[in-house]
Amino acid sequence: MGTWRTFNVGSDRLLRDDRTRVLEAFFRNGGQMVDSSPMYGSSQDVLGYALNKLGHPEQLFSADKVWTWDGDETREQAANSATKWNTERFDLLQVHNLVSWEPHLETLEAMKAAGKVRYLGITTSHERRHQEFERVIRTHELDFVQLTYNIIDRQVEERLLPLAREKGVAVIVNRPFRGGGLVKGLQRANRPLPGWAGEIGCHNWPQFLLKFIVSHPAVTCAIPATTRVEHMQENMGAAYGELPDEGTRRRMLAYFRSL
Amino acid sequence: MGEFDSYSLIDFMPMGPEVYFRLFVRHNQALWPAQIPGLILGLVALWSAWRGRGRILGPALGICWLWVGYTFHLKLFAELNWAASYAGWGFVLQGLLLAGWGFAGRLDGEFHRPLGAVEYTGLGLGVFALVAYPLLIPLSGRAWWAVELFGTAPDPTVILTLGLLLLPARVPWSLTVIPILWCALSGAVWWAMSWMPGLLVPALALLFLVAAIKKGADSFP
Repeated sequence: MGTWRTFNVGSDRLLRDDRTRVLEAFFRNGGQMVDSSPMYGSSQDVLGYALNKLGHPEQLFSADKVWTWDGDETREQAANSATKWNTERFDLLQVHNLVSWEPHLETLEAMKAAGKVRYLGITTSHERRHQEFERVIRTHELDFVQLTYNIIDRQVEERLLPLAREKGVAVIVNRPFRGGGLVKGLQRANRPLPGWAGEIGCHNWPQFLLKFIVSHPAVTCAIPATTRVEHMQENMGAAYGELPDEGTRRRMLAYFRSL
Repeated sequence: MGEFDSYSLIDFMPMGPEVYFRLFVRHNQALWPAQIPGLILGLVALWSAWRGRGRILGPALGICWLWVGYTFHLKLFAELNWAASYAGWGFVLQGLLLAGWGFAGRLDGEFHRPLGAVEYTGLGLGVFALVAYPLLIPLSGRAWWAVELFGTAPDPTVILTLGLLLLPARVPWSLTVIPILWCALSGAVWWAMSWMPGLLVPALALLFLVAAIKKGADSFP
């Protein structure tokens, strides 16, 4: 799951406890990867608060980012983030939006070699960075890439997803609902799910949209974010049941386009 | 598929409406009953502007700007949004400028008499900020504790300040830059949070600008 905006609640105790319940629902439904960034305001602090309350579940796969223009600040920022999460080391550290990626990646490679982090990667949520993104994938030994992919924004199907698959790089998908707008748009317009959605275990639009994403052979996981327990439960439903095959994916796309 | 536009303003906000609205609730609860001296300072500012007492007006407004800058922006809002610390320091600077200008007598005397349309517009903005703006919060469905008051919340503090800066014989333009910038920023945040009454904030800044320009034009012989 992602934490952009949703976990940035500052020192508000009421909302911190609310978000703890969301995280608890995530773990209870089999979730593992939690992603954050120093850019997300107080999200890291709130995650640390929630994880302490939940006793740092073993299944947690902790993913954070390095987000600073100062290429010498990689270790310091990673240590600062780890303190906020109340964890000794992250499973994954990513260079956020390719900001000063060259020095950061160099340091992350050294940290990985020294066992200070398990995996490293890069992220983007902007199509204009795709060329540079591709160049970094080609020239560096990355474990993960994080990019935007959803039923509308499918540019990455052309080059980035096949490249990641070819190089054996895991893919995390951000903005699966376009910041929530996609689900809200469909629900506001009262668009029905196709009659055959139940055949692939989709009982609501979030599940339909998430299954489309995670059924791409190059995709490892998606990180939707939410502030509500019931939405978390809906989202996590996509992790169960059958995954659509290539033919069903085409059918899903055709149906969405027909709306 | 126009309903699925890629990025909207809310995508660039690091927090959602629930968190932003609660910020005002938490601020009020933490400060209570400091809202009362804040409102008294607002009344003092209105009276001193009416009577042309710049040496009282400047510090009365300045104290409120410093208070809002520290308690709202730097202490609370900056937890959620790193940009709020810049706003906080902007408010502190504006507070010092207002107090300094007042103490130096640069807001003193020569208040336009008799009051004309521009000055009444200024007083109207002041009264609106003190009385009507806070009522918009509960009337629009937000919690009573979220009420935004002059002296503790940024928007009414800024609107009243702009209004009263229309009272001196000449508009002190250098004291208007930070308030106008804040109005534009605040309007963008309210738009992103889908709280439409908040769009009054930039609209009133626009009204101030029209009135101030008219006042400048009228002062030429």
